[in-house]
Amino acid sequence: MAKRLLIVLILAVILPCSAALAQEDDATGFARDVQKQLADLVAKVSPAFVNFGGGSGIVVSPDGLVITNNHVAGRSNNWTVRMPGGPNGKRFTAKMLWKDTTGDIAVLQLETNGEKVPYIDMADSDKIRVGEFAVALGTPFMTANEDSVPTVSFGIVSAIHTNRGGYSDAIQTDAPVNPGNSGGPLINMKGELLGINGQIRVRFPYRVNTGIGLAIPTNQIKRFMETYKEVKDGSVVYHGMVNGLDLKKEPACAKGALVEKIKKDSTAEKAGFKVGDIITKVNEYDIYNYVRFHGVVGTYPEKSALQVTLLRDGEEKTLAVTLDRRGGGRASQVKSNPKAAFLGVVFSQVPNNDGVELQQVVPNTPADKAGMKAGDIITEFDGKKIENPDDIRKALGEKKPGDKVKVKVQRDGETLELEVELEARGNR
Amino acid sequence: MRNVFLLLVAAAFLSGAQPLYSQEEVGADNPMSRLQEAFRNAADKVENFVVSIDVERDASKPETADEEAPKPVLGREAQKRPGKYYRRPKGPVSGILISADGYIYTSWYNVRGDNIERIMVTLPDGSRLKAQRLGWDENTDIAVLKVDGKDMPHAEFTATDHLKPGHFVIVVGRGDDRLSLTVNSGIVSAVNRLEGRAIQIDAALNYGNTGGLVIDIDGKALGIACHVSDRAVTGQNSGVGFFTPQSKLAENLPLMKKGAVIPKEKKPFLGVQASDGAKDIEGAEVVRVLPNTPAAEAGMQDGDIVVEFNGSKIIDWDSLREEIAKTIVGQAVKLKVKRADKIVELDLTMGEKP
Amino acid sequence: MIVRLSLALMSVLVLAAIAPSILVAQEDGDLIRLQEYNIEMLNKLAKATVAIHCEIEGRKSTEPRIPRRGQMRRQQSGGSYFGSGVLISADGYVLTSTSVVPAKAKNIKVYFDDGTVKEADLVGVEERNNVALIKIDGSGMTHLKLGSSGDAKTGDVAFTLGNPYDCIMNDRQVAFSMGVISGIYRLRGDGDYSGRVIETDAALNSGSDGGPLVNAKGELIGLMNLSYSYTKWLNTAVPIDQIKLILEDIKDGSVIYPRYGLSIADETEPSGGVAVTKVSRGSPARNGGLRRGDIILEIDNLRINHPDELAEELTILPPGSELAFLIIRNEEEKIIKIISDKFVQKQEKKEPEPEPEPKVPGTIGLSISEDQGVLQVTKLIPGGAAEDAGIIAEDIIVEIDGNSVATLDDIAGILKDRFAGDKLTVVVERGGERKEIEITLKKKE
Repeated sequence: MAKRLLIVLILAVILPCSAALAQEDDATGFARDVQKQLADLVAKVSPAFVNFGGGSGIVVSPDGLVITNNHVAGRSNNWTVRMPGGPNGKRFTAKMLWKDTTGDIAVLQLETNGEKVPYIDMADSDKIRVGEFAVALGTPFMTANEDSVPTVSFGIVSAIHTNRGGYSDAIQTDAPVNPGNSGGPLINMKGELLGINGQIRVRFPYRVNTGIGLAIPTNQIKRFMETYKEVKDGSVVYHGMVNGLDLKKEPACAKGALVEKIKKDSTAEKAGFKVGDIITKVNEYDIYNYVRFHGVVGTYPEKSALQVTLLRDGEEKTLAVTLDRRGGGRASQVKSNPKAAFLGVVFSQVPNNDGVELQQVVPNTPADKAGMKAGDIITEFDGKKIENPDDIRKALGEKKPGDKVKVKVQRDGETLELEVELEARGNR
Repeated sequence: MRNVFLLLVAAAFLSGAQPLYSQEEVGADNPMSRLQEAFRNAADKVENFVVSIDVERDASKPETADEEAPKPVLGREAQKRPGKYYRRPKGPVSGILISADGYIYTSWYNVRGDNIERIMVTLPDGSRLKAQRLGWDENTDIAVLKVDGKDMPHAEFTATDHLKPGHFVIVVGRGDDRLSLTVNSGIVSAVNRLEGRAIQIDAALNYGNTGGLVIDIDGKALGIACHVSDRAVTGQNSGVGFFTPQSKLAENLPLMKKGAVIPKEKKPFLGVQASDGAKDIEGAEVVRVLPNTPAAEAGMQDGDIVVEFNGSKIIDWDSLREEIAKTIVGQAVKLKVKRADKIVELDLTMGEKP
Repeated sequence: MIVRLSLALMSVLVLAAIAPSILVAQEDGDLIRLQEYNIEMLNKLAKATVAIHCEIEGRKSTEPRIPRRGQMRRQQSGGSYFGSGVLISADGYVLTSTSVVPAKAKNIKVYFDDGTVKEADLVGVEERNNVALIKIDGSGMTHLKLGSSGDAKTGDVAFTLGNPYDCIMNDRQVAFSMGVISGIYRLRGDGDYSGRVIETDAALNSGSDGGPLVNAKGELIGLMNLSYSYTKWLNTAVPIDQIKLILEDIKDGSVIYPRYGLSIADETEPSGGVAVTKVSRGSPARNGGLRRGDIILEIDNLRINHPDELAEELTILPPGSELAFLIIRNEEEKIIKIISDKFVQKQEKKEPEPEPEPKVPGTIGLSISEDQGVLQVTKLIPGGAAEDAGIIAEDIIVEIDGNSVATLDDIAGILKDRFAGDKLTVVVERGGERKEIEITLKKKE
């Protein structure tokens, strides 16, 4: 009897211990486990990939709602896209529902003839933790062109809520993304969409990834999807801003964003802002400096109603503000004169009347050849101070193709002087 | 009482069997260290197969006789000073021993050209041997070298059917000092690329580790890292990289060993960046004309929409691609493009796809 | 009865012990466990990673617009430089790179990701390691433990944390990246740092320099640097062991030199290489096996063509560097490995004569490669006469003071009779054009 007890006791000790030991010592087994789970995740989400040819997209609903970047799909309201399936991929027609040219998002509807298509859910991007793993799906350098099976890359979430490159609340990742990944998804380990990859930072002459990719977060996209869910004709939609509110440009401000100036009769004045107020929250978001204030506001469509919490004379106050439209759009409208001088950029107003920010630099245009990059802020054009898009339009209107113009831009905190040789628009 | 005591003892043993992921003191048992140990184990298995190769060239002679070869698409700054970036950097590259008697795989780019004076291979133990360049396959970017060897440790390749996107891969090469090992890790990005000639990975590939060995997490040899060159749009370390898998290596090895050259399939090439799929545009829209290409020389411009090619009406990029495929390199073609509401006729000579 | 109960209980206990392992393996798999560890570790380390801004006394940056080969451009923000740094002690010592805080820096401010800003004092710099030590006031601060770079192996997982594009100040975020140690080797590029590096494919971007390279256990094993290998274009870090060697000396304010314990001949040997004229007893050279009479052909695979080159190689390497000399002794080639030591000069002395350096009158401050009659500048010594005069890497030297030059010997012949303070008129070929540049020779330090 005691012997039987002893046997059981020994077994009770050996079995769990050996199980644990086997688990600990086999590092390769651990790695194999990790990679199997990663491969399973990839297999689960890849079918929802959309190939636009020069760019990527992702399906987010079973009836075929597609999200991509505006700079991938914006120039046509009708597309033939491909998804994985079969040797050349499966073709679908996609119709533009609306495009956000400032936030660089376009939403389209696949024509699925009632069939369900593979899709992924959208995560709550405010719950992303830095250090999380992420995969990107895309067609960098047109690699998915043959069968539309997406290229997969793996990395971590490097930072969140970064206001950079025209993306006001970007997710930064070191998962390799390159030209062609634009419009494609950044996905977490649960298979949910975190954001849409749209920009990279380069530091060598090749236009390739060097470890920084920027993605537009889902919460921003969801806000626009909710506000514009009835828009289905391919219209441009607009972001919001608080007109007349000038904040002190002090990024190291520890308490919040300091209001420096209020324009008379502006939205800011009517909402009740006063000079000296320190903005500490916008809705549920903490505001630590002016960069973050513009970053948060930049995720809302025009006419959104926001609660702004601020400190005034030591007391906390909350104001309600309805956002104005943030001016934006192409440097010139479709009806422009093809013989006019032309730069080749898409820009938007920098809040604070601080200049004009380049959302996009079209390849092989005067701006591109001069070295301008998305994210640059033009502060001076041909010796004239530039505060808003009208200033640039006026200044350009006075020039001719062939003119050489000196342009001052702010890039990552540095002021650069570039020389642009203007060209005729042609049919661009 | 005795039973209670025994139960307590049992409980004590059993609680010790929990997995050890201590949050307080970060010892070597944390998950990252375990992953790293797996990487180290895998690389250790193949270390001895990886050699360093010095390709000594006569700088006064051009690398290839064909001076008309299309130039790569580089960024703005590089286009201002092309000489600096087209130039192949100096320094050793990597290669892999594949037989006991000294056959070596490396990338063809590493040993491409007519101006090579000498190829020296440094073995892991530091000894140096002269190598002979045998044959190569320009499509898979693989070349075969031979050194005089006996009983050399060498790689044995494994089929790649088990690979899936998301699986870890490790690229092993030799560094600038010819002796230290270089290791880059990543995942499989796609299993069927370059018309079946390559598997795509996101590990960093550059001039230093091209020609190096790609292995899986178990240390099995999968193929040779390649398709890196000063002419590749993928540049260095972009995270878009390719390797030639075992099946493609095995296909042409006997021929290459005999010195045969499998030339690049000459595909006709226009030299533009397409805008696929935009349906509102009738014709094939050219988003961008790449510099130094047949399209550029013919006078095509960004934004042109091809409406007729070689006599055939063009309604979209698919039809244009079909028509291009019907031509051959060097063929003279006429095409019509729509430019600012006007139709412009262009004369173009088809180039070779780089 | 009791026995049966015990048996039953035992079985339950066994099952209870095994079950969690099985359940856990299926629910929260290894991938998630790995991720959770990653998140926790990195977020802790972020508290010890800082942004650093400072101003440079005197002139603005002279960095060329297009980065020099082998060196990335340092980052400016309206006149002030910025980069990353890392806390290494609870009372506020911060390590960073001299590309972020150079020797003449002033108005140094340190920013944390929670918005805290602190002013910092420059404690000292050590140029060869490209390292600067600054101090902020504090106590009980989260800091990184100094690991051992000697234990690091290629293939190890590595993380970079930093301040690219000033994200710590602007976005209150430390940026992380994960990669592996892709190589450990002697870097010889055109950048400011020449010496052993830990190379990684974890991300480094404008403003990440001076930040930490961290191993899987969260220990500091290197300091990110702007130099890179021109064959691989990957990111490098100065190994922490080299910095540990001289950290206390920097705190003292001492000046530190590498010490080898050897002297070399003034002229090249007729058959090539440079002879060793003296090896001090008990010195690193002696301990490594170098002897008087040995002829040095190569250092770390660089062929030595002139005593100047050898002297420069020895001068630029940080103390504690491992060098491989290829020598000829009794007509046989041999490889000798030496680990240099440090020679510490306390602040009181003026203009110390560093032990191993041979005397060379005036110096231009650059490296030239000779290739079939073409003399091309490969590297400029920071702060040297050539750099001050406006010579840039890849300039081809065609004429000095009216004399055509085609070989290194030609140049050496002219320099032989020139002293510090002398002016030289140099004609270079740059981008297809000829330029005339006047250089004022400096004293070799």
